[in-house]
Amino acid sequence: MTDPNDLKKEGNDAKDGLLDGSAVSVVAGMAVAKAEAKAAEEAAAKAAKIEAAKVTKTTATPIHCNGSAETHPLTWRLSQADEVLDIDLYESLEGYAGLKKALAMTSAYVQGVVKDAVLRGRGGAGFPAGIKWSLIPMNKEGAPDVGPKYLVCNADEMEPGTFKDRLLMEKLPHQLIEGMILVSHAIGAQTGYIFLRGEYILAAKNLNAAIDQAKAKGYLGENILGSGHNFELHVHTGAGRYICGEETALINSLEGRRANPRTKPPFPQISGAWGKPTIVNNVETLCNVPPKGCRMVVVAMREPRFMARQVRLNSQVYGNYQLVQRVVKFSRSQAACRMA
Amino acid sequence: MMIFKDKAAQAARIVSDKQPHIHVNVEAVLTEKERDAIHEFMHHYPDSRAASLDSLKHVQKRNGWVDDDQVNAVAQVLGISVPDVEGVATFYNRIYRQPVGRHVILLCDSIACYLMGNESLADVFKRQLGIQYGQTTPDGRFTLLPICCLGNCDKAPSLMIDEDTYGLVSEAQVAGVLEQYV
Repeated sequence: MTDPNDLKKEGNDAKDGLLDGSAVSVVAGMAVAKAEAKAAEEAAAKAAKIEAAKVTKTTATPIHCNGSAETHPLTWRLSQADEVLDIDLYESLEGYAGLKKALAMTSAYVQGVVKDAVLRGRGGAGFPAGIKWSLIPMNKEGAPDVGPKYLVCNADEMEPGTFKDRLLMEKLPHQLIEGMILVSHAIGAQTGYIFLRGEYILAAKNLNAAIDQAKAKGYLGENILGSGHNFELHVHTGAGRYICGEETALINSLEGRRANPRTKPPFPQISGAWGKPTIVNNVETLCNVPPKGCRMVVVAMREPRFMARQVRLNSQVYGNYQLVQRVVKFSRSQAACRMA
Repeated sequence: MMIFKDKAAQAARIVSDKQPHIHVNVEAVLTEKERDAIHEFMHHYPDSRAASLDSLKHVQKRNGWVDDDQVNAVAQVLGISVPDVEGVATFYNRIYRQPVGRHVILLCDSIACYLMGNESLADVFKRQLGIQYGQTTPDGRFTLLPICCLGNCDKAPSLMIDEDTYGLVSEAQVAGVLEQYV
């Protein structure tokens, strides 16, 4: 049983670690124990007060529409437009800039940068994405070809009370696509699948439209932007089963089998979809790659150590939080909070 | 659950390995468009089996549910066994292997919607339609089903009818929502 004082203390610690000027909020979890619930309630009330104060200052602007690229790396584009569905609009908002930079670098370098940045998986487990990618076999000169590899985006968001990925896919589909192309370059995958849950009708529509736009612009397909990298992306929609969100069950489902989880090892990085090396990453993890790819390269040239500190701070601190339940004015906010 | 009128009809629905595969005339069961769509899905994957779910979903659009002939036809087009397709069809919640109404109402009963009054909302639906969860109205217009989180928690209580998602649904709005579906 967690002591409520401990919980409060943790909340204070989190506050101390915040960057200046960042939004403050606390995750109000579904605490089972009464004490935990009470502490969470207090913390949520406190956060709501701060949020409310903020909202009054910027009238009629949802909290996620009021940030810069530094404080709201995932959602800052929504401060410029309600939704960014058009590729030209996305490009005018620094879209595909991170991808262009990353394509000029080697796969190993991109992997290294993300590894150093300690970008943690946003599916819930928080496993560092860079380490996950480094387990995938890469083509080496003089060695036989590794063969096909797959990149799968886990968009089977079904956890009760979770809707962060929905926002990212419905309003910023290009951000996810950019992230997937970038990661496919880093791991050398030629085919990617967005495993989307069947109930996200609008997300499927927007993602498919965005994929068509990206294809027309040469961001998807053969020899992307003259880099020699090929990548095909498909949207696979499910038909409703909670277990499909589990990594290996998702792979089984993608293969057209009943979505029962597989035993590990072998891990998907070695033998995943169709027995080939496969990386499964959450939507938010993949969305987090381009802004970092964009920013860190600039800083890396100047001061590598500063970059590592800065990016590490970002990746560990920033997350996407949703507030539900009788909170009307700010349903989604990207709040700064220490990741558990 | 649907009750079968006679045992023979029930036996015909159960597909097992012992039962010889009933070969159907694919051209008669699936339209040309449906067959083209299935072939298009197969191009997305290195193995045709992976297209089974996409195919079932596509085939289901015609009648709202998938019957035995359609399952057999899909298996033949994909070149995999009927039990394999049946296994996929019965695993996923939203592939229906028995007749459903023209419109399927999916009521989210997860925690956020539950706290925001899903139960009383469900009661209104049940009263207005005169059915319980899992049943279809006698006129074949609506089927009412519960569903796990729709990811629309910020607009709880939430529900989905066919491909339309509704949020912040009050009990007074139920009749108006139902009217839109004939």
